[in-house]
Amino acid sequence: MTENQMHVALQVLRGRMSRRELLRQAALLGISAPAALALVERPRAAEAAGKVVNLAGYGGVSNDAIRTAWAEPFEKLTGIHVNLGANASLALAKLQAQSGNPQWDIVGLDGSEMPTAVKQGLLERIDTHKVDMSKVPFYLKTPYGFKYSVYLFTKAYDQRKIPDANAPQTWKDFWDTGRYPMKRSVYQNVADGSILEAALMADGVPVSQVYPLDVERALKSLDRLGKRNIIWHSANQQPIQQLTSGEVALATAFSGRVIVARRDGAKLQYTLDQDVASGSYFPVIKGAPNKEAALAFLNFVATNDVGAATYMSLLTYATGNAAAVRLVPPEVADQLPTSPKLKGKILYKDENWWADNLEKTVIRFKEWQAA
Amino acid sequence: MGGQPREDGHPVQGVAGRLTGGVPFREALARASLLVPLCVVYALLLVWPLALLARTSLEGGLAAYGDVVRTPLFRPVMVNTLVISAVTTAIAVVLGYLCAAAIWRAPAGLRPLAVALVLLPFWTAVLVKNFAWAALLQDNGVFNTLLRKLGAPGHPALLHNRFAVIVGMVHYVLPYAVLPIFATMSSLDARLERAAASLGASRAAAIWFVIVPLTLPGVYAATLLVFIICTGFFITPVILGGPRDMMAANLVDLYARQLVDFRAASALAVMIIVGVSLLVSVYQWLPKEGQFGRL
Repeated sequence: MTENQMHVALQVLRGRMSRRELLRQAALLGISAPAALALVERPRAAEAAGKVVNLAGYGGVSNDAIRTAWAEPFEKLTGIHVNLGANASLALAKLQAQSGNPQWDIVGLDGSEMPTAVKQGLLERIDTHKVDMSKVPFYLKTPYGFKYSVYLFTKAYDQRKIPDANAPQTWKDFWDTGRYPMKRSVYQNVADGSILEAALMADGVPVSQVYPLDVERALKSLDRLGKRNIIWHSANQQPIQQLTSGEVALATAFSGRVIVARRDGAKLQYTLDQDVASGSYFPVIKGAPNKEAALAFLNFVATNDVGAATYMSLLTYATGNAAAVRLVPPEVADQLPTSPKLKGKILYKDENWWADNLEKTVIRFKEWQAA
Repeated sequence: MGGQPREDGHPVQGVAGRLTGGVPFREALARASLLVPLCVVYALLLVWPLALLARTSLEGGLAAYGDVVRTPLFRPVMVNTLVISAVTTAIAVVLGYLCAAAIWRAPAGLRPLAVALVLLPFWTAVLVKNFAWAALLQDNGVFNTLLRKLGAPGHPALLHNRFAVIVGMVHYVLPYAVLPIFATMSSLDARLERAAASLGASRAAAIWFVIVPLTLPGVYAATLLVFIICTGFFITPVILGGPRDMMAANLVDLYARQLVDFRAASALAVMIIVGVSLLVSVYQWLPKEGQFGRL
């Protein structure tokens, strides 16, 4: 393989070049089309045969979207299989890094967990020669990776019980027990979800002044909503089940879960105002045995426009490869958490505040819950 | 024992004989060597992980223990654990006693069926049982729907509270209460009751003065066993309980998974293990002898 041919092959593998572009360049180099394809696919596939990246995500529809948008096309292109698992958490990342022989190469972490993982030395720095992050806007990337997913913590409701005209547009509405005299299902992970932020907005704090969080004021606001009006959930699919089964008519949820449920025929909807945008990373665990394959996958996620557009269309979640938005239908693009149209309407979660205040805030919240 | 002949008539064989239960030393050694594989398995799968846990908890001295004890969650969680376990144990032992008695006195043909009814939930996964209760108890669940159909005003909150936790836990631990009590009962001599009757005892008196005292060892065993199991519950408070029903294992989970403070999680786990080990030692010392020999 000449250096030129190698360059072409690598460009394709990194997702920088379409197949058509490859064939054009191959013709310029005097390689036949089948030979060019064989050059990038077969040898790589053979070399990669049995190669695998183990990725722990959040499971459910979240993993389904990752599989369809990125894992399957990546495997077709490179022969590297992406083995998707569930139950990603900071604890899993820590156990993996401490074991010295991680089973998971990548463990999905949300923005509030990421700084702690970096501080504790659990992650590999990303080699930007291997992962091209040029398409990722600065606010979605760190030296340890980029956000593959940006989602909204939202107010979901059951359309069979609450007509759209009466939908809760703000958190103040969500708090209004006179207007909605029924229970709400609320996510009890305050760092991953954003109920404390929501409580402050319900208390009249404008979006721009939510941080630094006044935790005591947020808890007083939650007291006004009343514990008897709250059912706590701890898994992301729970509110969807509770809404569809009729157990509750109002719930906090991540927007993509509502969208997928709607696609499956559920009569659910959510509203955008004051929603809280946060995101997740695919960090590579320190000492990951399949580090090179993991970086190749991250490169694919960061650069492959079709994959990124598929992901955004499936969940209405934004992704690091922001350039791919042009391939997304405008009605979806306008609802993405990164859409300029939502600026000022939604809150961007301050993940650094959370990283600095995680333990005392979580303990204080649990203490309040248990009182 | 000392120099007295033993009950089984073997002569007492000095210090070594006393330690090995009257068996010659060489033979005792050979017997003990049969235990080696078991000891290795225990050492690898139990002692070693526990040692790692203790080591993690002691990183930085006793600081982690201090942190855990001082957190405002510690006291309410420990109180929850003790109260929920005690109430569950009391209910389970009373129900278990009645259930064991029913099996004991069931006609021979029905007995296997009765035992199967106890064992079936015993073999069902705890998650399945918990979710079944959640489906029954939720606001639009089976019970509340039934109440509404019957025209009851309002509907009681049955799920995500202590009531639901205790229901779910009693369901889980009931076989652990039934089996030791049933074992004690089935070793009773049936003639005792007739003897009591021949001496003029009414049926109630025979049960109260003869049967119940003789089955007490089974009751003690069941009580401790059930209580020990209760203190370790994790998933039932999560699924059926609310935040006010947080138990010790849930606090370990909070430290390990949400706060990723493995030192504090280990320290708390060590405290729980020590507490439960004390109970287990008491359990080991309970008299296992019934009126008519070992069970």
